[in-house]
Amino acid sequence: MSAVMNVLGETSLGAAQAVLGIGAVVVPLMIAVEVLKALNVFQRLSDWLAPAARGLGLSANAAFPLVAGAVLGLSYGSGLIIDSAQEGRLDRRDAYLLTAFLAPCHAVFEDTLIFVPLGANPWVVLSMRFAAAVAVTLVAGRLWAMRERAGRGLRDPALGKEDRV
Amino acid sequence: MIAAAVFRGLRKGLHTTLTLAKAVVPAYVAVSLLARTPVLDWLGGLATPWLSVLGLPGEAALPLLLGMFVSLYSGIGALASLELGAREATIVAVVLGVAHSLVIETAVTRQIGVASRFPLTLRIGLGLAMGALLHRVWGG
Repeated sequence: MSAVMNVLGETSLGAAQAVLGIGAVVVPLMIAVEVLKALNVFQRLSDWLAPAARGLGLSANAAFPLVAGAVLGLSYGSGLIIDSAQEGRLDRRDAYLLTAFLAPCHAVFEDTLIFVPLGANPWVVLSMRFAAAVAVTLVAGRLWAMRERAGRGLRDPALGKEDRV
Repeated sequence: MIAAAVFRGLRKGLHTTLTLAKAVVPAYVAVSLLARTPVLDWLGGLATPWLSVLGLPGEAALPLLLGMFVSLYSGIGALASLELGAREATIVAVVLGVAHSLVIETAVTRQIGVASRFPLTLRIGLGLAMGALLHRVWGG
C-alpha cells in the first residue's frame, strides 16, 4: 500500500515540477511580449529587418509576418500572418518562402526556453534552428526562381492544389 | 500603458500555463507509470535501432511521437518523466523544436495558401536531419 502511495506521490511531485518549470518560462515571456507589443517593437524591428528579409528573397512586406512568426510562433502569430496574406501584401513567392523559413524557426524563444528546465542547451537549439531556416529559405528561393524561369512559377507542383490564390 | 501590458502578459502567461498543464500532466503521468511496467522497455527496444541515429535511447520515442503529432507540451511532459542528460535533452529539443504539433500548425500555413505537404515533409525531414547532425557534431 505504501509503495502505491510512494509512486503516486513521486509522480504528482514530478508532474507539478514540470508544470512549474513551464510556467517559469511562459509567464515572464508573455509579460515581455505584451510590453514589446505595447511599445510597438515588432513593427519597428520588422522595418529594421526589411533589408535582411530581401536578402532571403522575400519582399519588404514579408518582414512583419516573418518577425511575428519567428518570435511569437505560428499559433500566436498566426493572426498577424494570415492578415498580411489576406490583405494581399504577400504574393505566392512570399507565402512559400515564409513557410520555408518559419517551418524550422518559429516561436524560437518559448520553444527553446521550455526545454531548459529539462537540461537542454538553449544556444545550441537557437543557433541550429536559425541556421536551418536561413539555409532552407535560400534553397527554396533558388528552386522558386528555377521554376519561374521554366515558366511554371504559378503552377508549382510542390505547392499542390491550393496553389491558386 | 506599460503596467496594463505587464498585467495582460501575466494573465495570459498564467492562463497559458494552465492550458499547457492539461497537456503536460497526463503525458507525464502516463509515461512515468508506463516506465514501471515492461511496456516502455519493450517499446524502447523496438525503437532503439532507429533512435541510435539520433544518439537517443529507445524510450525517447514516446516524447518524440507525442511532441510531433499531439502537441509539443505533451512531448515535454513525457520527456520530463524520463531522465535524459543535457546532450540528449538538447537533441530532443532541436528535433521537436523544428517538428512539433504538426496537425495544428500545418492548418495555419494552409490558411496562407501553401499546401500542407510542403511544411510537413520539410519539418519532419529537417528535424530528424538536424538531430542526427547534432548527434554527430556533439560527440558523446
